[in-house]
Amino acid sequence: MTGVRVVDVTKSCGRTCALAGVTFGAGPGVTGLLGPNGAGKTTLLRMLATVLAPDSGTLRLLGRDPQDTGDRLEIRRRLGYLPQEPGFHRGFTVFEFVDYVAILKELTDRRARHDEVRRVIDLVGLADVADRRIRALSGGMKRRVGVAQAVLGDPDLVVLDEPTAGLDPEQRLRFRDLVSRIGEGRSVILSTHQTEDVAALCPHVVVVDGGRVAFDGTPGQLTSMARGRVWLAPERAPAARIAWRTAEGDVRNVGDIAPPGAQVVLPTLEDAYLLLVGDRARGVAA
Amino acid sequence: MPELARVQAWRVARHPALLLGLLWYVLGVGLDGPAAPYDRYSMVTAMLVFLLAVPAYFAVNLVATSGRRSGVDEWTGALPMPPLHRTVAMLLAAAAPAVIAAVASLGWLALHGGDTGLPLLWQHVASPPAAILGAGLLGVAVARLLPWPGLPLVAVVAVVTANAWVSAHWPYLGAYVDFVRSTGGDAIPAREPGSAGWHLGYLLALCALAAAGALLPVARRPWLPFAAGALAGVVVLVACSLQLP
Repeated sequence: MTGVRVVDVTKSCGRTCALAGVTFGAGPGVTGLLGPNGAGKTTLLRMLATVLAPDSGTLRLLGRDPQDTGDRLEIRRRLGYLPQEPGFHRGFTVFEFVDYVAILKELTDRRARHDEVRRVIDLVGLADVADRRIRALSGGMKRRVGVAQAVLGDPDLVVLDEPTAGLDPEQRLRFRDLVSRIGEGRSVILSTHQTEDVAALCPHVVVVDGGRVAFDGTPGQLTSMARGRVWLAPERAPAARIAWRTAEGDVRNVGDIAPPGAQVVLPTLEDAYLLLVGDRARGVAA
Repeated sequence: MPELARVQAWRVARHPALLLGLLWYVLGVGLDGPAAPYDRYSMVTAMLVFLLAVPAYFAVNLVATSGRRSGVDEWTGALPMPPLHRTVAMLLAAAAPAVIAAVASLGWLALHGGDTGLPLLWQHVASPPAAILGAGLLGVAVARLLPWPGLPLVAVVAVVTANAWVSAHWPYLGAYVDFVRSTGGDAIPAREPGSAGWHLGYLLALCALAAAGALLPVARRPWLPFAAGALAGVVVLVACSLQLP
């Protein structure tokens, strides 16, 4: 069964057109969703989390229609969602908050629920601070609380909106380990600005730009789009869209075409992403 | 839903507003307790309402609105438990201050050997917890019907002002927790007793009215709480008349 199927979905927020006909599908495994700020990623994820309804188009989640009341309830029972900026009851302890979400997820048997809460808290590495109040946690720890509640009850579809924001490098690596485990056997939609996370985790990547899908394929296919368009030179090249001096002292130029005689190098996913979304990505790449 | 009600009740019970009200009550009655007969009687029939109802209202309202204020509601809407069940759980949790008030009343009676100095009916003892239950339920209703910052304060100021106005113009309708003729040491002029049972019915009907109001925005069939609220409104009017001496 396809985890997510989105066909020609549109959504307007006031006068702004957030999504202008988005189409893509995502099956089991981790699907990376890339895009510059304001591309419509969060709007799309809120739809996948059944928080928002599309203005038009077709949305199928876990083979069901979220517009239908009964289907929506069934989807919500099998869905885990971490929003971009999750609010917390700050007076709750970690355990109390995850338990509170577990109750809202209709895990009714108290003993089984507490076992499940302890399992997910342990999964995200917060067992030592389970009794600490959320207001006393660091930003990275709060993100992990958010991830813990998202994986409560082993959901079939997990929607994570920028889960690595605010995490230090070690936490990010731990998070990759966690997401790759979550992605085994279920659908995970991962929105991020970190192309390294996508390259490391996602067999499938969708790039959203200006409310449309700019790319839908594998990271390898996306990277290959930049082949022959990344080169090293002693100085910034006029033909480069983006260029930066590397640690080795050379300038890495990313542009439409490498000048004759340039030292062309293998592109990365980030190079391809920069080329695809152009100037709008510069804020992300900086 | 019972599990959510338990969690929310615990949040209400330990809310600073309610704890402050309880502290006020303890300080207000003093550690030795009142000596005059009427004041002893008032301990279980009036003081709790005066000192705990408003804190209970704010405690319940703040718990009921905490999800909106903290941003939790923006994403927990995607969780399976429907809004109707969440509101019913909150209404059940609103009983926590009333339970605390009942325990305080009965505890006071037990400590003083049941001697209130004046004749006491079980309806007298039940009325303050019922009034505090109404305050809590009103807190939920305001949270659901008026979900804008500042309006819970406006609502409670309106209720207190209206009560003070009624007390000034129709003394039998205001401060009508005194059901028996008071004796020496009475701070309130002597009055003819009314019906303690109908007064309790009046308070419970007000509770039902507040609960119906809270359920109105989240019910699958809004006419049901609307009809229940209308019925409760009629009972309020009838009981209000019949409680008078």
